[in-house]
Amino acid sequence: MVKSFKKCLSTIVAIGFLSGPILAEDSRPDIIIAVDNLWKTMDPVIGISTTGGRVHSNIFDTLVRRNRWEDPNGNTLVPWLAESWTRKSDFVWEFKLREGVKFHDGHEMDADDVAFSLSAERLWGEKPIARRGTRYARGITRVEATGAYKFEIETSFPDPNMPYRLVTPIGFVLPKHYYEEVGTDAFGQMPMGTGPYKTVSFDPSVGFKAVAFDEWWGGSVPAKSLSFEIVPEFSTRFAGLVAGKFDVVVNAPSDQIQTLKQTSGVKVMEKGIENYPMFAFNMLDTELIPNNPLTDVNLRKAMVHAIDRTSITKAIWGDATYVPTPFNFPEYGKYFDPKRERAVKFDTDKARELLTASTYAGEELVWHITRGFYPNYEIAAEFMVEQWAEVGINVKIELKDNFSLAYKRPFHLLNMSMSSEFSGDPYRPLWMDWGPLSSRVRAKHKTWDMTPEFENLGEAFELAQDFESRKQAYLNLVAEWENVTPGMYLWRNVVSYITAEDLAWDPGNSPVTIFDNKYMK
Amino acid sequence: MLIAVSLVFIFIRFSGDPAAALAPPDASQEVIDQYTEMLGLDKPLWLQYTNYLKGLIQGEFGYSLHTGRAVEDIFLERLPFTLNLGITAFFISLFCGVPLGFYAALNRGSNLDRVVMGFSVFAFAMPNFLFGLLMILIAALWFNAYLGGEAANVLFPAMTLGLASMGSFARFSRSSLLEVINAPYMYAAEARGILFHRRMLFHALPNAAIPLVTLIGLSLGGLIAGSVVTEQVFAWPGVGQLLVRSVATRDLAMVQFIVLSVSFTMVTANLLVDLLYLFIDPRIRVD
Amino acid sequence: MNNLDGIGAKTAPILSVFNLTVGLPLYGDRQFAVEDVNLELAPGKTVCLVGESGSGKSIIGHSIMGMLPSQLKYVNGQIFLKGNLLPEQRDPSYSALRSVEMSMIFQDASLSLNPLRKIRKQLEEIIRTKYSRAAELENFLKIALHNVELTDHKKILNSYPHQISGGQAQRVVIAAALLQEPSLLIADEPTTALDVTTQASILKLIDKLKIKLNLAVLFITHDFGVVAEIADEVCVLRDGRIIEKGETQAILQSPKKNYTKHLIYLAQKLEKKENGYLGKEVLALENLNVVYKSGRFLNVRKTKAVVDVSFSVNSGQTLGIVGESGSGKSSLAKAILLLEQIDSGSIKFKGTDILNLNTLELKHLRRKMQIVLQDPFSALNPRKTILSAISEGPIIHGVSKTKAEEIASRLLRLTGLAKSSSSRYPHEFSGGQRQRICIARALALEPEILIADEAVSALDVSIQAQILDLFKKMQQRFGFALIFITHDLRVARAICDTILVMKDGQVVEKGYANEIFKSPKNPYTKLLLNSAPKSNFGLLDLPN
Repeated sequence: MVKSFKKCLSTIVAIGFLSGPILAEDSRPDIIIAVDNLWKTMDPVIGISTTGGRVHSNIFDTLVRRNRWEDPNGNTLVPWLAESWTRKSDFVWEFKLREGVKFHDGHEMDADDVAFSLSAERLWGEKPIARRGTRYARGITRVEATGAYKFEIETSFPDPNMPYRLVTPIGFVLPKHYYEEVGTDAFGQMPMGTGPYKTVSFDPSVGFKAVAFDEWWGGSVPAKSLSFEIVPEFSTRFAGLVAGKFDVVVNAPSDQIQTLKQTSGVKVMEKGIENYPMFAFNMLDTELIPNNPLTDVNLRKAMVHAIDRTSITKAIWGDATYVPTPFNFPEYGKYFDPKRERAVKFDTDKARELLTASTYAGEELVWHITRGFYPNYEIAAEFMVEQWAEVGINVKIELKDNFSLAYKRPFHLLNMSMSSEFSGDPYRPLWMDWGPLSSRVRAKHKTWDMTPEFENLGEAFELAQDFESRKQAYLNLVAEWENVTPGMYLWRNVVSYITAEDLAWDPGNSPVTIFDNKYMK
Repeated sequence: MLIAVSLVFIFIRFSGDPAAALAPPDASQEVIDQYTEMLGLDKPLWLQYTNYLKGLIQGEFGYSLHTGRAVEDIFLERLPFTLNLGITAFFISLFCGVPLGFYAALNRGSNLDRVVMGFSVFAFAMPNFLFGLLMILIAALWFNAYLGGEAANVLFPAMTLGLASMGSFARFSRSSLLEVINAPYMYAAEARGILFHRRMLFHALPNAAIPLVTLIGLSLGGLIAGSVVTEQVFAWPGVGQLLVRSVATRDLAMVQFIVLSVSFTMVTANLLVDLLYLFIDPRIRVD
Repeated sequence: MNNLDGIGAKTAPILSVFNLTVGLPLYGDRQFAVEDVNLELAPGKTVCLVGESGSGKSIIGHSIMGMLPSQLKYVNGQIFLKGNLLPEQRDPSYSALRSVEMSMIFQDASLSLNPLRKIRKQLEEIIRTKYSRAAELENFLKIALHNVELTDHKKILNSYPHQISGGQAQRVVIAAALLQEPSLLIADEPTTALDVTTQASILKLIDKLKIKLNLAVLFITHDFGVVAEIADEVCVLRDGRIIEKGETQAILQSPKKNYTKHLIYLAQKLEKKENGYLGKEVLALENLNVVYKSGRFLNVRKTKAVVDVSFSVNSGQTLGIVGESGSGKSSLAKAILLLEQIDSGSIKFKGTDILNLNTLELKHLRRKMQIVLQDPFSALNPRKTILSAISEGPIIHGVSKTKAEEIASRLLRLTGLAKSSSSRYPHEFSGGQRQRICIARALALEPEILIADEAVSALDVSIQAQILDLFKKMQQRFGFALIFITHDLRVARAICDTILVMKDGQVVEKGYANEIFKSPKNPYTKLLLNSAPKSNFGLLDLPN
């Protein structure tokens, strides 16, 4: 304790000395964000998570960035640490790096750092250090620095959307020299990048502190310092905001939003994010459920027809979110078609008709739901169980304390959510989350075996390279997905922020909180 | 203590897969399997258990899954906060609760007695979760003050934490003093002409303190374990919060170490109480 | 011993109580705790206040000490000490009088001492004069203890209360009371908790001190035996009123009030016992030995609790086992019930050795041997109605519930309990009634041997007599052998056919009750008999 106290003290003194003369007239604010939790390591790939992501982008920069400050959905890519890129062949992309970018210790970033950050041993080798990143690095077979500020990425399959991948956490560039010097664990406790803020201290039990890195290549840094403080209890976070201690508070309980909106002096922001809560039908006959009625597509469709998702969502969320047409997500730019409607709509007559046609004989269907994980999920589930009961389908909710318990069979319906980030087109939510490598198909808790049709169409989608043919392949695949109906999407997920009324900060549709000069004025 | 450790070992392993907790919810099976292998969870349970016990005997408590740091280091970093909170709370509850109880006993049946006892029931029954939140919200909304966090005054979380045991200290000391006051030797002392303050100081209080020692022991034993809720509410970065987070993330080694420490404090507190008994009660001393 | 010289000679009284009336709180069982009490106490005299519990005798003592509990609000009358009117109850000025002018000692001396302080501290704090030198103080305390016949003063002073015996504690308490040389000593049942030998020596001591210090003693007791031993004058108290008073001999020999006669009769009645009839032998012990082992490993200490005891009992016979505490009588009882590890010897029940029985036979046997304990309060489950408490035993042994409840109601009737009591709970009954319930419960199993372990020791004299009567009646009706364990010779004499006197685990004398009481052979038996408070009041000659 004495040691850490001394460390703390000396840091404070150091900051005092360093910042004293320079920032004597520094009028920039100190921003404090009260969070429910922080991931215990700040390596941006090992720590891929909501609780880590809220810090990472302030310390690190990605190679490519999406522009959410002008368009909340971030449909345009912005060159960031990578200045430009070209597709040299179907399998190889070449990126050019920005020059003169400095890490927080003054060391200049170059292509070696990128090659290290994207290396096999970190991301895509046999047993990578940062396992959480493997799915973003799928198919990468070579990352090579081809010059001081140039590098190439080669993939095993043609990937038209590689720049989108570099928006994700694997696109963060880490300082090779520092990482190798201190090692993985220590790096996670004292991270260093090229981002607008420089780590001062990190204690996974208390919080994360950083100060403005005034040599940031991106220009001015809007806050003098940035702290994330762990305050597990929302009411306490809120009290801190009202008392003026905090500037931003995350994760307001969804049932309190309306009340909070009426509190004076605070601003409530609800942002739709690129994540869609849903449930999957267990379509398999297993040992524990030998005669699974859900193998019958009529029952699955009847169940989707029976639910009035639009009304339920409206009732629970108001205008904060909406029910998506399968895989038709606004964050996919040209692929997004606001007019396309879902094939299996709310229609109780149709539901009854299909139910009669099915082999379902009133068996109880068990729905595993992870307690409190997805906001409002349980409430919606209650509504849905009632609507199913109206048409004669008997569903029982079983709440589980964590995912590993929810994954334990037997279940008929399993809760989950699908993210739509990073791929630039619906490749990720559609093919990666339902295709041959997905846990839907491969994990112990898998829920379906692909139909041959789905598999064929998926492969065609994967191979299609130009926009027109790719869009058509995507629509064909979605049609087959809806035809099989292996699950049902509920709504677009929502995150909420409560901030001081005068804070000029807007994160766009993202759970990632960035406090650089683009998002904060 | 061995039993406590074994129970924790078993419960954590049956309440969810740590590998699944460490991997993202939509991770592929390969990733989960890799984590499983990394954590040694693929080995048979008995082997994991004996390995763990072997480690304990050699003073190897294991490493946190998330930070890779030795669990005892993390624990020792958090411990001062919890001790600060727990000991302050203990003294608040002792030095407010006992005098209140004695005061009530001496004024038995008076309105003051009723007020004090009413308060102690309230204090005991009030969930400290609720009390803490009320305090925080009132301070924020009315006084623009934030009572949570590491830098905040320990007084407020300590008051919250100490409230319940203050209530039980008050009730307990009241009833034990009442019992002592009506004991024959108190009557006899009065008949011998011993003055009131001497009777209280030298006869009543030492005797009334004996049952209190047990309660003190319980409070001290629960010092580390008792502050979980309060630490959550006040964002007080102590062992309690560490425990909650470690359980949530299935950080086995961390949870096991905390439980081990908690049972160790309980055992130590019991031992201390026994020694204290020996000190204050001559009847227990062996001739 | 009874010095009657002072009778008739008028000395100025130390204490005069005029018309003392103390009201009971509302809803008490009567309006006044004591009513119109007049008392006078001369120096060098002992006045006994006699009455049963609840008669108000302790209230009088406390009133004089100014220590009435504040709940008793109504107090009227005047109390003069050496001619001075005493202040209001609980007035702070009392602390100047207590232990200086008057002292009081209580029933259980060991409880009258703070368990956490050494005797020395508890004596020192009474002394108000400052001793400049430690040696002077030490000497003063030494003399004080010497006066109460405690010789090893250093050891006593450095002891905690739990380290000295009951008799020593009572002496310490008396020394404490007399430390400031008061002229009045109020003794509230000071010997009731002691065994007979200690009781006798304490009574003697008080008598001696009375003469030596010219004390006025107000002695509160329920026991006419004690009265005969110590009192110069007697006041008989009933329901808060003094119904008769006078010189001790006069009252004993010709009591005027029926109630007084009744009390004297009760005390005397305990002395007699007609010969019972003797049936077949049911229990025979031969050379029974019980040894307790204490300590551990290498340092095992052996205590012989029962040594070579042999006797036999017949059905319909009552055997008394008499001894002081620690004499081994309770260990013997436990041994008979097979609740104690028996080291050697044999116990035969109707000719069968019971030491080698199998479980089933043992269960059978247990039914045939029942015990009634001293404390009827803890012997009954507070959550069970009386009826189910009594019928429980037969049901366990296979009797149908209806039948068992029939037996229980019958026994309730036989033991003199109202029919309505069957559905009530133990706490609704008095101690005597509970003992009846316990007896009924034991009899429900139709035992052939009934062991009564100090079964009447906790009860008031008049209740004692009733319960002893009940035992006799039940024995006549059911014909069981009764083994009656007691420390009280008068009780033993009242009920036993044969008696076993035990000391240190050994039988020192056995024989017919009448013979033993008439001509005890063993010196220890003689000592026991001599120590017992006189209950013959000079009417019967006891051997010396």
